[in-house]
Amino acid sequence: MDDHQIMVLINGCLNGDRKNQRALFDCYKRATFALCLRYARDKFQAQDMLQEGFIKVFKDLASYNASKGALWTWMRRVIINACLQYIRKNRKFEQECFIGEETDVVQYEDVSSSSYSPRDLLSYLQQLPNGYRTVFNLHVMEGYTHPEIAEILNISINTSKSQLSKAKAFLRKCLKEGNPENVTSKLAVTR
Amino acid sequence: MNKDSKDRIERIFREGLSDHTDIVSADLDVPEGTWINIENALDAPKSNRRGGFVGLILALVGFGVLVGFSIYTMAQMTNFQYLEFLAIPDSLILPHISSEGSMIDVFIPSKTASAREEVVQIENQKDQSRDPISRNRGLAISPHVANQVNDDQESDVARKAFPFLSTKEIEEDTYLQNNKDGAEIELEDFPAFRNFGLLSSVSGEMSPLAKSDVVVEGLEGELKSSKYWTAQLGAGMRSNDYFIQGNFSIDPNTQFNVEKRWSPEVFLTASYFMGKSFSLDAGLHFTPIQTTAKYVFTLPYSTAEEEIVGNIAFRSINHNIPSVDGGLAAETRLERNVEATVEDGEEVVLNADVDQTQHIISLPLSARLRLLNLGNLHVSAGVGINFNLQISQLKSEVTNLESSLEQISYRELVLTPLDTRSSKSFFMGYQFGIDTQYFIDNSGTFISGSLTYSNALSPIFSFDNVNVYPRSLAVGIGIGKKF
Repeated sequence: MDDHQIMVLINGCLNGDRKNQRALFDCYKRATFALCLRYARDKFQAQDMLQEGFIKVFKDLASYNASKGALWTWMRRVIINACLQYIRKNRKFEQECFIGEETDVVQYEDVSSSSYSPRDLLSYLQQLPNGYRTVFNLHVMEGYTHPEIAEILNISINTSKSQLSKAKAFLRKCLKEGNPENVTSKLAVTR
Repeated sequence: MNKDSKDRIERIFREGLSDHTDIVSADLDVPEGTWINIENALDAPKSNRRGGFVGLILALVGFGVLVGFSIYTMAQMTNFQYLEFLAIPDSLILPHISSEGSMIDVFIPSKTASAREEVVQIENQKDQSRDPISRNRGLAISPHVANQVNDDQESDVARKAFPFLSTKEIEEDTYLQNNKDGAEIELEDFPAFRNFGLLSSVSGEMSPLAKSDVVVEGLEGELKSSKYWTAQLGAGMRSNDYFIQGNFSIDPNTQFNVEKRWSPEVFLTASYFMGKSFSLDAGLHFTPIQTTAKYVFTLPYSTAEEEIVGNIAFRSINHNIPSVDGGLAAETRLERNVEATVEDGEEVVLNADVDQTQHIISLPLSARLRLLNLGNLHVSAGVGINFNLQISQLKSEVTNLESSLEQISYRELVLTPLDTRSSKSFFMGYQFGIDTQYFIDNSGTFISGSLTYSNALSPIFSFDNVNVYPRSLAVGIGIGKKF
């Protein structure tokens, strides 16, 4: 879809045209759903996040400025914000037990990027507790720094670092043992 | 752990999950119905959740306006009652004067029945009183007139002090004519008053103007005394704890109990007395809810995971614990001397005392009934509701940490909230209590003491089937003033 077509879609959406809104949704739904899957525990949560994200996209579309960047860049930020808001809203209390960290060091040669399918990686990521997963996504996937994450999530910088470290320890085990269930047996999560 | 390995983990996930087409395939596609849900949400009217909160605020403001309007209206009614029988034209007054009549007949026309009753009551009280001032509350002279006279002492005092007399009557009265400056006028010498004898008790050196002022003040006080405002500022102590409904699904190796602690409190209260015995109160309280959480953890001590520096072996254990405001990430650091042997996997029981604090702003609204009037000491009981806003998340400070193993030479516990929610809790509750006021002078200044129990009706924190309700017993002292 070229820039002109996108601008036509945007104008239609701004006028409340349902066909244009549907076309914009169809155009970006897979990319945004993949984004939501990374922040969610399962596809049902991801669907909720996607819905809330797109509602926000349509409501805030007037604030998009094409001269400042591509639509996808703007939408991505809006969707991530919707995911974070969803996590905040739905995460009242989690009792998570994660005893013993970084005891089994996975060696450099143990893991290689070609060994794991995206589906496996997503599955490992979704096994993480919300806090760990959110920090990991923001830092590793989106490229935010710890001070920025601390501000976004209203936590301390040390907490951000600590949660990232714990997330990586968990993921290393997943990569080594192959089955997240083996790892989650040590992770008692009350949801 | 080397840095390469850490970075490699990041790279694996970054590369593996960067392309959405690899993730969203046929069996993990966007669920059907997603667009319909979005469309429905776009068509739906805006959520009224915010509207509900705005409605609550408007209701509170409305309540305040209603109370304020009531006060204003009542004050106006009082003034009307007062002025209604003051501003009586001569034509209404003079025909009522007779030797068998009373001053009430002179001042109050028949249409002002309520005002008439009030003055009759005052007249009856007057006879029972030994106070020469209160005995003459029946004499009503407009403050406006009194002020006029004050502004112009040299004018015709009698005409202004007694507006219900015709000019001719005043001119014909020799006594008044001889004392135009008002300095030596004695009311009982005035013929009209002499006839009715109502003011015979007024004596001494007071001028009619001074007497008028005294009488007006007395009358106003009588009419307004049952409705007034008080405001007080105070401080106190509050003993807090929580009622926890349901059970936290916690690790069986963790025990958790919350104990009471006393917390300081400051408050500002306004009361509107709608009668001698009944008042409506509104206030603003600021208090930290302080409690002590007692934890007992049983942790396995693995010597295999220890790090050894010199003759010190230490290890950190990461585990999570519950609290009344969500989960806490706990990092427990234990150290031992390498010569103090610990069996691998031996259980360590740790007892931790954690002081926890949440800051609350509370808006109580209550009704109060005066139970006892013992001179200057008043005792009241009240009941009401309160609206509360948690303005800070739970703060935790470990004050004590003890280990069951003597070999552990150093222990440290660091707690970090797991819950990253940005919003603060709003909850409401009820309170009842008893309070005393002691008026220390005639200007209406009083000191107060109170004992209040309050309990939340809605939880300050909830998760699944667990609800946490703050409750407290508060004692307070304050100083206030009646307006």
